[in-house]
Amino acid sequence: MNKTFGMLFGLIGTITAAFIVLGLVFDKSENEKQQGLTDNYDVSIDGRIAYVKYDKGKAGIYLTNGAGEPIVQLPVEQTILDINFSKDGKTLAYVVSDKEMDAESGSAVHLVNIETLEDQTAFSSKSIITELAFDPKDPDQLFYLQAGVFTNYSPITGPRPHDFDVHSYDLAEKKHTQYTELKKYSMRSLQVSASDETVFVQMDDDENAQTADDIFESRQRIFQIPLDAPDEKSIISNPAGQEDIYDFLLLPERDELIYQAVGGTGANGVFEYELFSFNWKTYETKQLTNLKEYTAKPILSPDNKIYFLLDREFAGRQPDYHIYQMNVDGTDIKEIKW
Amino acid sequence: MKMQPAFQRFVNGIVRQTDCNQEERVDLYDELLSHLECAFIDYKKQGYSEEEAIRTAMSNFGTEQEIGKQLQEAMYPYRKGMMLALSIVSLLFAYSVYACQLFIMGDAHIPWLILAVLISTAILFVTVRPVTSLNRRLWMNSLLLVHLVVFFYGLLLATDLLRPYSTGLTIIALILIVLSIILVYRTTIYDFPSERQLLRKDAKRLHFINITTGIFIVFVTLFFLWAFLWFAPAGSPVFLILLIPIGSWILSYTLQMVLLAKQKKTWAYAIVFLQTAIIMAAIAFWFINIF
Repeated sequence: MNKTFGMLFGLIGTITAAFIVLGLVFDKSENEKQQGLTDNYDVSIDGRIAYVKYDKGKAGIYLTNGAGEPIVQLPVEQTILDINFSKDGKTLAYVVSDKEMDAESGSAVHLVNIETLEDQTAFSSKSIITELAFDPKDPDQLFYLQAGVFTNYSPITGPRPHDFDVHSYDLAEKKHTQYTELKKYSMRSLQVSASDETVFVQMDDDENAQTADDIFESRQRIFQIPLDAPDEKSIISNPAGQEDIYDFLLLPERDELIYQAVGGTGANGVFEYELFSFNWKTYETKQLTNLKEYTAKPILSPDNKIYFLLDREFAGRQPDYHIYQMNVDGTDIKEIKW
Repeated sequence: MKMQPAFQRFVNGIVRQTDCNQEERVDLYDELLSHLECAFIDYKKQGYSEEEAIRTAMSNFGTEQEIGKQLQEAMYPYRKGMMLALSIVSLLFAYSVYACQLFIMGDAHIPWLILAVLISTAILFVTVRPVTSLNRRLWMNSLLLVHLVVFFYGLLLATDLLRPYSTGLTIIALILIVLSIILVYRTTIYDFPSERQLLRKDAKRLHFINITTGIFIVFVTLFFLWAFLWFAPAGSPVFLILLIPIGSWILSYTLQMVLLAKQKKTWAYAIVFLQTAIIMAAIAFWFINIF
């Protein structure tokens, strides 16, 4: 009997010791845990897709017709916040920052030559740059959204980049220009007009808000900002719409924009984000997707297709992004595989 | 007498398998020994030799294991099975959650694994080898309370996993916690009543009310702790406020038991009534403010 107990407790001790050794070997730091596709991707004029993917916590940029190896790979402490192809598709700009951001975090904007894979730092900033967009009219102009602070304005949220404004960097003259003085709590989906000197961003329509309730009631809309008169910005999404618009794509030739908004609520109480189109001439709104998941980041490809992301694990621990494609009218939705 | 060492060894082997305390073991030992001695005398009278009478008396009595097991079940129904189930399932759960956390989430919760294995093994040990010298109620409840704390953390680790692993392991963790709570109730109220309490029925009643109240207070405190962690900075003295209800409950519980031991039944009930009234008033106040 004693021998049996001795063996039993010995077995428990051995199994525990084995698990401890396994724990010491396989334990990962927070920076090594990210895996898979992120929500950062872009489509070049020749139809090539560049996407940011984590491999054991290392953020890398990959190309769909590449050899499967990353053209850029960062250490586990860093992340890529955005990528953007130049109009000719030969240069890819990307912005690097700390994975675990704090008030001291800055950013570095890099340019990669897609043909030679030569990587150079365009400029660095002591602030956090969240988005990049080449000017389709001028290949030397790189616009970006920069946060003024990294803090938590609300006690129930963690610190995040806030006080956003629109800036640009002239790659030839190496000169920065700040266009707005808005210090917006949130600003995203930067797009530069291909025809005139304006940019488009999504932000809170809270200019006339006086009280905390007003701010809470304000909607997120799409704004057009003339660069020579930024104070004369105007709303181009439905100004009376009661829905928040989170992400968008302009289709000027169709007088339309494709935007992301909440389409419904799933059985588990999680919002389902769908893509919609809005014609600013006719004020007609149409729901393009009905995938009942999280659709985001619509991008127009050279063959006039809309690419977008679908997260099958939205509100889960780690997103599970997939790239989809559809016609501009929402037909022929299919997943892109490579 | 020649027979006594054999009978003593035999009876010792039987009583060792029960969860009795020292006093109960002595009583049980004496009773079993006297049965054997009577049987021995009867067999001798029937003309058996001394050795045959000893052997026949013991063999007709049954095997040590069988009698010990039957006595344990008669005195403490299902207790050993519950304790064995708690310790073995706890061990398997600890290894499973640890392995899932390690290989799925990349986190090695080594200190938790060690604590979970130690507490599960300790419960397994005192179940298969009851230690008579221990104050059974104090030690059992201490082990069970530590088990509750350690496996509540295990429950959080299980819920933290990805589905479907989280679903199954969370259910197992909840079953373990419920089993542990049931064992605290039966250890305190039924299996090992305090020798100091002469008013047994009243003691049972007060224990039941207080344990239930304690579980409720700990649950509410954990909820507020979770909420405070969102809003109050770590190390804030506001966290000390959270200890007031638990501290008050411990004080009230102790006072009731001391008063009951001194047979001041009315005072003990007055305190438990006041304690319950305060909690009810707090709940009512909370509901009125929320809705």
